[in-house]
Amino acid sequence: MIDIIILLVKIIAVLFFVGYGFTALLIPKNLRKDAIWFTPWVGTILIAVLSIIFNLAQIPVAKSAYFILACAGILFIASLIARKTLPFLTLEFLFTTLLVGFTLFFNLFPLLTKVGFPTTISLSNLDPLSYTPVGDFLINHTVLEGGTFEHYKPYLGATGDLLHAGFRWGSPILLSFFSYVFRLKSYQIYSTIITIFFTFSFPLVYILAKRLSQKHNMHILSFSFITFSLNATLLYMLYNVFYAQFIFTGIFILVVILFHAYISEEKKDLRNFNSYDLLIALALSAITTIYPEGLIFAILPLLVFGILSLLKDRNPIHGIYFLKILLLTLVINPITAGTAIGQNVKIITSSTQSSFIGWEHIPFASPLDMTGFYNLYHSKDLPVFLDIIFGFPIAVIWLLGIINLRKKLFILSLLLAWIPFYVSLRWIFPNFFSFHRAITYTLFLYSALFSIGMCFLFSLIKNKMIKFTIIVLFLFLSFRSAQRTLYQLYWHAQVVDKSLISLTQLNKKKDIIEPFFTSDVYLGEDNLWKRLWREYFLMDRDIVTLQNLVTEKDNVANIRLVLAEKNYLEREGKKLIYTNKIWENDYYQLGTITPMKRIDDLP
Amino acid sequence: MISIFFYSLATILVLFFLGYGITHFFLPKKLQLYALWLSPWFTIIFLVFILIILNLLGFTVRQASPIIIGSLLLLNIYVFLKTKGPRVNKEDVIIACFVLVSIFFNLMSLIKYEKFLTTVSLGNNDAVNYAASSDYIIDTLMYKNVALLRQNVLNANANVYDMFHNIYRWGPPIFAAFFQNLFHLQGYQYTYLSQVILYALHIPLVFILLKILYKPTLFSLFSILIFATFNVNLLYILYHNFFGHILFLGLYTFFLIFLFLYFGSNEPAKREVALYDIILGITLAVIYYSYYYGGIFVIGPLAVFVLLRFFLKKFTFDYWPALSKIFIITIITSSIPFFFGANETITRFLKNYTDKNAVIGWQAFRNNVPYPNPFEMMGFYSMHAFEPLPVILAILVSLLVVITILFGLLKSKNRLLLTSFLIVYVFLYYWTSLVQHNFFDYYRAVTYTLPFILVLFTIGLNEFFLIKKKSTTVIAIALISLVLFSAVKLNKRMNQEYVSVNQSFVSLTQLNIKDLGLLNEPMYTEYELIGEIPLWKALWTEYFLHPKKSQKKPQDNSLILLSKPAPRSNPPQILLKSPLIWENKYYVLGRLCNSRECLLDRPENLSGVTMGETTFEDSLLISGWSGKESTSRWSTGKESTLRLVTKEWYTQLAFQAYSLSEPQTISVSIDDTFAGTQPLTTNWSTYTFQIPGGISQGIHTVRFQYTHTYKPSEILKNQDARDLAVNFRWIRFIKT
Repeated sequence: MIDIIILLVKIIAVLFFVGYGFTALLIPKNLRKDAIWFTPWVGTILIAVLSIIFNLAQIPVAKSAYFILACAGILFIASLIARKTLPFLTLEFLFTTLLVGFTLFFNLFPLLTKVGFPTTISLSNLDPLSYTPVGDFLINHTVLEGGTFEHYKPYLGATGDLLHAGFRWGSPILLSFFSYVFRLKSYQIYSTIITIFFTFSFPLVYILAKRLSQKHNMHILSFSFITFSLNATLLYMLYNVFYAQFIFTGIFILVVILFHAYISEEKKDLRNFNSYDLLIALALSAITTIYPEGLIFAILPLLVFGILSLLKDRNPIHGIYFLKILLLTLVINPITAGTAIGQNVKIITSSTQSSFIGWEHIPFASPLDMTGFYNLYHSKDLPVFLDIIFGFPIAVIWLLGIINLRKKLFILSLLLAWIPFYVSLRWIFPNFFSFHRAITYTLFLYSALFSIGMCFLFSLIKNKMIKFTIIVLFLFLSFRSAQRTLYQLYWHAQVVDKSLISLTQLNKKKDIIEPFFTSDVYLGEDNLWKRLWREYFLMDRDIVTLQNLVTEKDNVANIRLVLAEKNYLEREGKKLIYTNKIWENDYYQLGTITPMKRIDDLP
Repeated sequence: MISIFFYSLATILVLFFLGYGITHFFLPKKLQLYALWLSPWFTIIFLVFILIILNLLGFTVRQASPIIIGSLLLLNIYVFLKTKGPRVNKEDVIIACFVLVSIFFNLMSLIKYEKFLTTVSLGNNDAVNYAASSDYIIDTLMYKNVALLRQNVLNANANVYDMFHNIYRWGPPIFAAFFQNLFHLQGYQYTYLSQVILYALHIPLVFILLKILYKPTLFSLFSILIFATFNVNLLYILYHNFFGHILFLGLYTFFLIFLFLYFGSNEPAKREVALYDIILGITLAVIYYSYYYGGIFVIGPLAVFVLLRFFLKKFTFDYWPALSKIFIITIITSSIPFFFGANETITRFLKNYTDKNAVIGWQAFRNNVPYPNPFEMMGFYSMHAFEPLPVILAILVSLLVVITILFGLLKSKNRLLLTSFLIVYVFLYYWTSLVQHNFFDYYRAVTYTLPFILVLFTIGLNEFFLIKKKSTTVIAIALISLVLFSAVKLNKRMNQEYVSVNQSFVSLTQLNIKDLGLLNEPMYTEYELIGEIPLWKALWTEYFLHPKKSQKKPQDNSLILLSKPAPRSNPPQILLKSPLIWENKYYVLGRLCNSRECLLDRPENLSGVTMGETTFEDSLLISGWSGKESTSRWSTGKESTLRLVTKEWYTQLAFQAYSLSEPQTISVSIDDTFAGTQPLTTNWSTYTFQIPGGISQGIHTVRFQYTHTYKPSEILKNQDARDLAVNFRWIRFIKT
């Protein structure tokens, strides 16, 4: 358990360290007060953007990490010399930190108490098997490598999917960076880092709500926490380890905060670029490589706002802001900008076609589900009339939130840009999973609006007891929903356990050079999670699994060795009988077996 | 021939025309006087920058070009309506004359000999890489299907991957691609021409740089124009098609013009981003996009300048803001090649280059002292034509050149910045020559920095001229004569020795594989058959054939493309089956006759081979043979084999040969049966060996083994470093 906590602290420390100097030196004055919470996100952005640029310049993470840390150190010292430190010794910071700490431990609870060592844990989703092999791969390779067929290397399929089809380069390279810095493997970091990203989004939601309403009271902090950190809809995505989505969400919130502050300042010098332009463009550039699919959600509202303010006030200034940011985003890394634009076009066109959705059915979320007061997945789907009854007051609170906003037009632009996605994915081209993703990308704004709306309502209520009761009620609803999802993770998690990890012993053995089968080739597919992780842990060995059996069918005639789990040697009447073992540990054995039919030989 | 003139003129006009608006829009007031000669470089920088960014974003050159041209035209109209239009003065006319003379002079080999638009080279093969890359990039995105490009499975030449993803030299091909697309030309037609034009257009920049640093006279005007136009070292680079290098010369001089003007004003201290910052930042970005090697020649001196200023001017930071702005713009707009270049430069410096025997990959300019001294650097004495001057004389004249340069430095504006440049350049000369012992790196460093050095020298010379007019005039006339003499000498050499993409290569475009129904069949060239044809020929054949060519070894009945014998060309002699599939004046396409059945069925007498005479020589020689010669052939290494085809009974093997040196003994085996050993002399003699048991009809392998090999470079004191043993005139089976 202590290893997980140490790793947690180390990752957070590095994120703050990398982002601190740059944030302290560049953050505009009117954001400085809250900037300490931007620091880990600026760190994330810098690591992703710079690592990808270096990578495209053929400098892999194993070299570029030193440069990034050195630059961060220089900027850190420069910020101290320039006396541009970021303030943080406030009561508000303390409370926020406590809630952040609680969120971290709440979400890491199954890992800390049930597993006990740094590894990957998932409710069921196999995404870690895309990210972690690529994370390890990119330490010493470039994003332009991989994606090609190599005999007996089934794990390489992930590099093709993520690097050459999905163009998600930034998200795995963050794993590479931390893996390399801490000399760990990506699977050891994955669950911890995604929890950190989710947790550190919360202070941003709070800062957004606070800045939108211009109110600094604890009610906003409480409701942001209740509707974001304990939001079961988000926790479902978190426990299903949709890694890149959570990095994207945090950066997206930061973009919204920065742009809101930018338009609030009304800078007059339009010819020059300023730190807002640079920070927002860097954040958007990071999105192009971390989660290209999210780019349209972040960039379209800025365009809509530019157009609306031109129409409303006959003022092109916000359009010029947008163009400056766009121009900078395009030149910071035109390659990722180009691939992201391509990906967005591809996704928009593919979302309009009905096709098989490889995910368990999720009901379309109502406002009650969106705020996390009701568990969308593990509670009974409510009838439509109840959705409407419960949804109505929430919608009213959101509306009150909008009414009490500063810079309403900007927030309306955000909603106006997103509504077509909700409508089209809900009714025109119904796709429950895409709809769900669209909702979870943008949930932070509803959380902020809810907090602002509630804050306004509370300003009308003088009785503290009533306020307290309302907070407790909402807390109870949210916590109950969150706990139901956490319970699922605790009892039904898929874990990269010690047996799988023990395969690293075989992976390191240099005297076994011949290719071998894994047991699924004979026994059939039983557990996809295990099979894919076996491929991951045996990436330096030549193996044939169900993954590459078809492509290797002409190269398996001379393979005589089979790897199997000791307590899983038979299935559905088929049994592996070992005649000779050349390697074994507590969980696995490798050797020759008595002849039997492979899956591809069966009728 | 008319196409050579037409496209030269068209390129120049397009560059000037498209740059008109953008130049007036961006040019600081102080430089308005030079707008005419800066405008093509504004176009070049803009085109390279925008085309690369758009390509990385997903727009090909063909897609982006109309948008770019349209935007620049609109800007032209706007500027034309707002301003009085371009003005031309006497100085411009003189400069224009030099530009035109430079173009004509350097296109001589095309105009006089080739008579059509193509690529020529003094020997270097880089041109094919640039041509293939510019063809490729017209319709393709740099970062699309990189993995497939690396594996050479795309419809692209193998060198394209290297250009875009190994050396990150994106600028030259994308610049050429823009004009190729505009004029509907292919890479081989435009590669050399575009370099000649870029070279010519860099000459006015050198003159402008001089004017920025010094108040010139008519004397210095003519001197600098002649020195820059006819410097033999720069011409050597041009004639070898170092495209990136040539583009860099212009970009570098352009950068220096703006840098010296900017740092000579009070603007660098301002916090706002100035026009200079943007122009300098983007120009440096384009340098990194085009030729990252050159980056250190700009960044290094600026770093030294900052340090010097910091220590000499009471720890002031006054130039930091300007430099920070320039570098931030450069890094943001060209981060990938910038970091690649920085990493490569650092790695290069850290690498141990003290090994004097390290392969340089370039033929020494001359065996004795291949490092040009200052006198040779200036082009007064051509190291490409003459042996080194006597040491005393070389030191003396070099000293005079160095004194003139230093004098020029003393009399220039912005001396501290100039000194910083000079310090770094002298260090780089020292590093590449005395530390690295790499004459070619030294030569590159020299030629990168020549525009700067020439300007300082001219300023010094002009100052001497102002002091002592008569004697300096005489010296200047002598120096100008030497420069012209060296340039003409190299130009003549170019016209005599150049290799070209001649009509025979171009004729391969007539080969329509689809019409012949051979689309899916691999085709082999002479290179795959014997591997020893000149690289220029191999590469350009591949350029015109790709992707029809195969990488595998040919088999019997494989499709073979052979060139026909021609003056200065000695193609391999291979047996092809009848009838031939296709032929034109220069090439023949047929199927390889290589199987036992085919060879035994041939009407020719294949029981012997007479080198240089028989039409099937390369079909019979198997391994251990050097390149074809007119009447004989050397064996290479300690063993060589051949096959002979017999239809009758033979009892002896005979050959006429001599050894390069003695002692030498030859052992002969036929079909792995030892036939005997005999000593060989260094004179032509006939040797006969009895075949144990005789041989009947069939294909027989003859193996020669030699006790010694010798290098002609050691025996005959020439540059031939091959390991040779015996030279054969003929080999044949005979009956007793």
